[in-house]
Amino acid sequence: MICSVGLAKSQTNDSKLKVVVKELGDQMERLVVSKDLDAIVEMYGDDAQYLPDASGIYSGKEEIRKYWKQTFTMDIIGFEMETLSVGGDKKRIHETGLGMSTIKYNDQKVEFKFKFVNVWERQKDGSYKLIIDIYNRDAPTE
Amino acid sequence: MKKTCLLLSVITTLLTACTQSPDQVSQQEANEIILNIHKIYEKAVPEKDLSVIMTLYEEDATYLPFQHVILKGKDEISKAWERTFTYPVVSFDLEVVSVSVHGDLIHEIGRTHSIFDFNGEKIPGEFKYLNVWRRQPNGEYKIHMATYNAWLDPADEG
Repeated sequence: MICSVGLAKSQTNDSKLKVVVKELGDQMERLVVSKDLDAIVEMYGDDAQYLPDASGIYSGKEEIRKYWKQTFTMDIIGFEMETLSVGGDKKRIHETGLGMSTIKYNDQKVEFKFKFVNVWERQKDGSYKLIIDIYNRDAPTE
Repeated sequence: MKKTCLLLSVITTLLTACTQSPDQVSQQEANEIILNIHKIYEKAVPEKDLSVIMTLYEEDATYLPFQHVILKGKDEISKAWERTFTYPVVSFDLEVVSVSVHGDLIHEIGRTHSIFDFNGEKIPGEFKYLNVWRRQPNGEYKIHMATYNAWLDPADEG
């Protein structure tokens, strides 16, 4: 009974963590569509690692900035993220989810479905920053 | 009063035991753990030894394979590996990029270097991955979450 109290407490923690990553995800959506390069880079920790699909491993803010700068040369008209699961604790949150980015290319809308793992780390000021960000293509639509 | 204090002390101890994380391994220990696991992994993949591969996963592990839906649990993950084994992989090497420790978790980022043999023609396959290893009650580490995607040298990108 005492351990089940502990388990119920962890379920409450997961709910709280979900609220945290929802806000972070909403922020990321806004920043990608508005192409706010400085603000996007600030969402990452100093030693963050970004592993975008079909590319290399980008370590640290300067490298991550270069990658996002290149990404923002595309005509991004939509970017959505949906959290599917969270785990971990207040210090480090693991998030898995699905996403969709929409770009305009030659007057056509091109959608890219992806799934991701984000690892968020709590900073001294209580904010969270991405320390690991990796995504890959979701299953093709049949 | 004494009995109440004793009872409170016992309850506090039990609650702490239920919620406390095990001691964290050192960075060096984590590096060794990962390298030892790699030896198993690098042998099992080209041998297509599914049973050994699956011992590396937690029961309710999460796996996010390339161009596939998110998979949860060993049953679904083993089916994904069976599909992977339909490819003629003849060599599989893991290169660690970083290992970091947080409580009972180890985050491992790295690259895989595979060789596929398509009718005598050797084709390389390069990927990069994130493995999240979690310490089990018996002290072993198993994959709690894993994902990977395609590696393309940034110098080769347009």
